[in-house]
Amino acid sequence: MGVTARSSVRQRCPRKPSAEGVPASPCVRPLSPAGCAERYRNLLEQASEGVFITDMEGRCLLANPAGAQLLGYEVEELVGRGLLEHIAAVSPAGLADALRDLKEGRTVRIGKSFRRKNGSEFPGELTGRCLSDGTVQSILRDVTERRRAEAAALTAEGRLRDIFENSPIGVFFVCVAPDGRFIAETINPHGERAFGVDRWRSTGMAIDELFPAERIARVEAFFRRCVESGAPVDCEIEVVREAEARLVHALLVPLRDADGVVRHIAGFVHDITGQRRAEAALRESEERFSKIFHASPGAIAVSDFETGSVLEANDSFLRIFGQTREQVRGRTTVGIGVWPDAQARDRFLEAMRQHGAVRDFEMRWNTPGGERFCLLTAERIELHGRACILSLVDDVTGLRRAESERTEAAEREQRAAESFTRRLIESQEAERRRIAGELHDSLGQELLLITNRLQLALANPSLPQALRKDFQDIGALATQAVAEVRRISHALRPPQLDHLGLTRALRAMLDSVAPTAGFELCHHLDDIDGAYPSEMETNWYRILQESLNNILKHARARHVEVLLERDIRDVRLIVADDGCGIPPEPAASDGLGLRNIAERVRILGGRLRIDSAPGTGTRLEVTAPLPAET
Amino acid sequence: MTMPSQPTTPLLVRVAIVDDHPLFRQGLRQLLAGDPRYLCIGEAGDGPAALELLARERPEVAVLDINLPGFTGLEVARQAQGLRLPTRLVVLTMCNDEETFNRAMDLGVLGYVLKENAVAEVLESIRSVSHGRHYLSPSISSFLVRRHSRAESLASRQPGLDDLTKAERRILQLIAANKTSREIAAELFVSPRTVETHRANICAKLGLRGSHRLLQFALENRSAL
Repeated sequence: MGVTARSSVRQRCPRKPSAEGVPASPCVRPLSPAGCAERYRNLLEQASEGVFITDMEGRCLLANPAGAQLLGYEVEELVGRGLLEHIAAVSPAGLADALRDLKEGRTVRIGKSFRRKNGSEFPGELTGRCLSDGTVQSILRDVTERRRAEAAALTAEGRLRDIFENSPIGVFFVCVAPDGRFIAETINPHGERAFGVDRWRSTGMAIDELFPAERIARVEAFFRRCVESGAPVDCEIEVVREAEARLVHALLVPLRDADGVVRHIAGFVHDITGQRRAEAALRESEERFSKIFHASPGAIAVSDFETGSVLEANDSFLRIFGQTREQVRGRTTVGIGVWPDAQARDRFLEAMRQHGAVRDFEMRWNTPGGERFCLLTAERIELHGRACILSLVDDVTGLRRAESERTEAAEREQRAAESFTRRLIESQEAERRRIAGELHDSLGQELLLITNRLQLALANPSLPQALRKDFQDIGALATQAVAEVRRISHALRPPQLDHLGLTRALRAMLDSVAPTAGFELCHHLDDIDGAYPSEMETNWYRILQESLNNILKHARARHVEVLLERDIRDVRLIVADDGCGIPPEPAASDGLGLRNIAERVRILGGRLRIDSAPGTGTRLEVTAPLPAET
Repeated sequence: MTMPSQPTTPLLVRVAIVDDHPLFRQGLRQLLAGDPRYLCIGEAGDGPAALELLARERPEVAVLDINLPGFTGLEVARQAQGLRLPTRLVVLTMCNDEETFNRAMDLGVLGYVLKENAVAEVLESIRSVSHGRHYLSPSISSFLVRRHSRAESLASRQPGLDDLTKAERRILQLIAANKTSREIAAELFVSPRTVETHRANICAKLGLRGSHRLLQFALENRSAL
């Protein structure tokens, strides 16, 4: 038995060393028979597979330790036991076939589940062969691990295939032929779409047949570089698909064989046409906006919300603040003088926090060229996750200047007009005063002389009677003329103003009006003598005179009250009547009277207020400041 | 009013003429020259000259125009009053309004003659005033009647709050609140000097002497202020 086993082993060793799992090296040199038996025993003792010698019925004659262990027995326990009953789920027909094969000298292989002594099972592989002495030598191997690995491999391969077929990235394999050409092996569906090729038709074709002649040199160069460098190559390949130029990004990865020679290239591709177009569009848009930003006549800047450092500023902005781009870089808005101090920016930030935006925030500051005014409009924006302020600054200095110049010009004009009116009124008063004086002092006095000379003549007893009558008539005429001169002169310039002072002159006016006015006149006049210089006093006189004139002419009043008060810092005149009120559209001449009042109030630096409604009377109130103390 | 010594009246009455119109002065001079009772002792053509003449010559009577260069005849009368001159005044004027008349009367003028009646009335007016009597042109004598009735009502009433200006009443109010001039000035945003002026005017108008009397008056009238 031992010999046959030996020879059998010896025969098989060189032919199929790995298939039987028996080490090949002891068989390299012939040994002596005794040595052989010894070796054979050792082999059996140490083999990892179970080795059994059975008779044709499957009763165990001999088993090695590994075999006993596989089935859960001691070696001695196993001898005489039927081996076949440990084969689980084997049909009698199958057993019969196996037996026939054994008898006919063929090797039988049974890959089944085997049952251990304790009833548990394991996947195993039993290889049996009939020996020349009629016994059967069987080798049993536990294939649990192998099965598991095979199952795993099967699953892994399926998964890889799924990935390959469904990958959103194009994958292809190219074989590097000995002549240096690149032969397409396979490509997944996404790759087909990317390159516009057909998997089944392209397989086996050289890539120079797949690409148009004008582009193949470039493509082949990438592949060659991958082979030569032995490193992945990143490249972009232009393809024409359905008459449209597309751009495909490819990563070429060299695959080496066991000797480290690059035999294959794996390619990973995806179409980047859309991406490139979007990028180009974005770039173009960015460029456009950048140009707009920088060329904008409006001053624009972007600054950090918290720190205030300037991130971007366009030329207009720099011009307004008199800075260069280099000066602005890395500095804050306070630093470059947008804000006079940090507090000013804090106030602005407070407004930003409250409202999220600011409209027409007024900024003014001094520059060597004069004061400047700007309107700031700001919006809070996010840039790369950073809170920023987008500011638009509108320089309105020119506008403001023009505006203030216009205002100043208008004010100058107004002042000139006022001063002209004042001079006109003053010169009118002076002229009246002069004419009144002339009338009074010259004409009046001459007339008085006439009346008095006539009186003298009449006093003479020797005056003939005929002349006496004439002289009396002349005297009467002259006296009338005097009265007329007095009336005219008084109207031009009330002598009381000069003789008695303003307060008494006003009282005299009221007293002279009262008896014939046709209304009841109440008055209270505070003493305002000395409160105003004499040329100003005339204005008060004329204001009251004009008010009374209006009442006399139009009001049909029954009661009139005049109140003149001297307060601490001002004088107030109130003239109130219960007449018919001022019509909304007063006649031109009356309007003149009111305008005259208004002019004189303005000369006094005071305020005029007229409350009137038809039927409820008129209340005129003038308040004018006392001249400052000197 | 001090009466001049009676014995001088039979003698010449010394008269000064004040008028800015030379022809008018000449006429008056002629009139006076024609009456042996009167002697023209000088003439003046403006306010200051008139005052100087009166002070120097101390005439019994002065015939005084109101409308004068320099200052007015009424001002001459006021200052003459201050100088306690013996001169009685006849105002000879074109002004025939009541206020001017009253002012003249207030200043102790005895004669008021309108110029158109000068020849007929001036000698008579000089005679009247030289005897310490009033003389008024007939056309304005009604003023005197009204003046008398007004003077009576004025005499029957004490000077009071009504005579004060609003500013003065305000000051008085603060005096009643026991504030010093300085405090009043601070409260009204005026200078202490202005307050002092107001106080002086109040005292003058009400005939009060001293700040104690002023405070007393202010407190008594506090409710009416």
